[in-house]
Amino acid sequence: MRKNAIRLSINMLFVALGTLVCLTPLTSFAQSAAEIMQENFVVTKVTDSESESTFILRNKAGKERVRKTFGTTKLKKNGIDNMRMTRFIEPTDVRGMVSLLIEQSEKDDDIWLYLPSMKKVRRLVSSNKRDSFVGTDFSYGDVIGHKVQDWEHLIVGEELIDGFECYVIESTPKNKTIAKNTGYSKRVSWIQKEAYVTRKADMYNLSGALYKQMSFKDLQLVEPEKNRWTARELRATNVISGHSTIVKVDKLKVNVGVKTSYFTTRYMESE
Amino acid sequence: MTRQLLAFTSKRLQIFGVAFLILFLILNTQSALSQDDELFIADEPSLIPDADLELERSDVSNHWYSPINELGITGSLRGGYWSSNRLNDNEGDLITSSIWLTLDKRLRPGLTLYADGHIDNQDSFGGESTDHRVKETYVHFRTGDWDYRLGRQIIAWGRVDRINPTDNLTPRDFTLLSTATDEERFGTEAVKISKVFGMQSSLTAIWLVNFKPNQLPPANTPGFQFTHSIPNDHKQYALKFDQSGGDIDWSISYFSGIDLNADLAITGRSGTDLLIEKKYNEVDIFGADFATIIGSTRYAVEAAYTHTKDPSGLNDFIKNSFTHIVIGLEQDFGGDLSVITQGFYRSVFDYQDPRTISDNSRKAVASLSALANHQLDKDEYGLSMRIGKKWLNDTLEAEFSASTLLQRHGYIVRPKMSYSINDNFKAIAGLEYFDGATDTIFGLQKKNKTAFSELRYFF
Repeated sequence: MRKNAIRLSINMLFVALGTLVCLTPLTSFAQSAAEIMQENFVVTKVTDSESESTFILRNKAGKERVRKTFGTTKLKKNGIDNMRMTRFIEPTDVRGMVSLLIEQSEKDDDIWLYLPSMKKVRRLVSSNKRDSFVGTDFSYGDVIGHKVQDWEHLIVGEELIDGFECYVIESTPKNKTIAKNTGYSKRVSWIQKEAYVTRKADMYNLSGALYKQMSFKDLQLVEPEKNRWTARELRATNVISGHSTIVKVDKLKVNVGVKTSYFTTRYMESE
Repeated sequence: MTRQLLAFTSKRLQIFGVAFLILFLILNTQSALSQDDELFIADEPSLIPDADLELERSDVSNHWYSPINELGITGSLRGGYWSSNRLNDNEGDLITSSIWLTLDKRLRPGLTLYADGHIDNQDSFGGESTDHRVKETYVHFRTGDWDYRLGRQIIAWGRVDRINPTDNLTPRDFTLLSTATDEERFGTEAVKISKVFGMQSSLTAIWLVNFKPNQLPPANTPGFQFTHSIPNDHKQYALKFDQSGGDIDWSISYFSGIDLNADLAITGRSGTDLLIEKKYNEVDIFGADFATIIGSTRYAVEAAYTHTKDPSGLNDFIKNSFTHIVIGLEQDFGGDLSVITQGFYRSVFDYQDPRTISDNSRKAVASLSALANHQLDKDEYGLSMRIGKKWLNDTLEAEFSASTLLQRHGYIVRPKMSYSINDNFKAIAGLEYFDGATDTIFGLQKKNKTAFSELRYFF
């Protein structure tokens, strides 16, 4: 009788320990998913940068349109919000068009557009992040980055991508407004361990169907002391329409002292 | 003859003067830059598109026109069909052809040379002569907190959509057969200097060296013979304080100069016809605008008070002082769909109905002048809207715009579609439909209703 009681106690102890062992990683995964996404959110935010890029827009039939851009970024003093200006150089139809995105952690971001034909800078409604960024398969939300606090994050596994160990993190919008504004019901991100850079991402539309697939190649550590990375090739494919966009960063300079005053409507109009 | 010669010489001297000034500034600035290059470049991005020749070129840069692009020159060849012109006559079925060129050359960080213009024939198979217009030619440079723009330039003011009460400095050509309304603008010789305060504020002072009026469709009224009187007055100045950024964008402005829209005055008779002079009178315009975004809606208001040479309303041939206000809402529905809805209101001070003038000739001319200048009624109300939608990664765009008066029957509807076939070719088609009573600005333009289509080749 006493032996049985001891055996039962030992069994219960094992069950309790087993439960604890099983539950502990889940709890820490749930906590660390948001932390990983927070690290991921800032990992591409270099102090400042200048770049020349080629956008290749390819439709389902393989017909291509090509845009060349000149871009600058600068991190605000809070170390989280970025300012980003993109000036279109080619083709002629869009030459001179300039977009200015200024992230705001605590409120809606500011988005400005200068159209040379109008001779005016125009502020755009920024709550809507789902619209295409100048005809590409990246939305304004994809370019600015999705705010970590607006989404629930969960580690759903680990996978090897391009030879790198990655967390697989599923992010779902915290409310319907965020889902509506971003156009996504779910995002799945493959985040490289320790580096925290995104290797690939899948986006699901509001109907729950796979909508876009993105990949980030030729990742380079450009500010090692801050663990800041830049992808030199970004791809996004709309799996529903078959349209895809490849962004190749042809030239890049990081931490070159771009002045804050460059990110103003004055500069959008003047060159 | 002597007067014409003097005017011609004076114009030449002005052009020469502006050209000399531009050349002097370029040379002077380049000289200053060469002495203090490091300091200047430190203020600007160092990786500049036109200066960095090591940029890897993709296929798009291997066209026949790439060497032209390298010089900063781009352009388009255009061919189109219009079922009517914009001259209020019965001419129709017009084949148009034109070449549009732009020079946008960044000579140095902070120093840009810009010019654009077009050569066009608005009836290529109808014997119409080829015309041309240099829309802008200016040099822009920047030193520290100061911006300078010298030369012929377009100055576009206002934060509401298209109907801008504060936009009174440089003219539009409403007779040009162009599928984009913004292309109707053309520049005036001017000196524009801006001082920037911090990140968001600026004070701009403008001196308009020349006066060029709006080009409106002719009235073609039987019994009226029109002449122009373009003032040779260079005393045109403007000031504007602008704040762009933060929660609200706003500006206040003042313009002292010449009205872009003519008043009509009787100067005599020729047989049974009345001789009518289009006179451009001085005005003082106080303006303000603001815009802000709350949620998915952009709110914008723009207003101006125009003080004319006839503030008390005693002269039948000069427009009275008036206020003009436009309130607009822009709703973004996502999916590249936006809708702009605007209400506009004009109120004339010391209004007197021109239709009550006893003399028939004076009544007819004063009424036509009041109609063209939105002063036939003391108050004028109206609505405008614009719906824009894009598909297929911005290759296919549709726009529907309309405007109507509320107290009289008159409206314009303008649907338009454009499709980018590739990076070089774009097809555009649309309709411009005017209708209304003959005592409305829309009714006056009934003959200008047109269907149009155009193919553009960009290089």
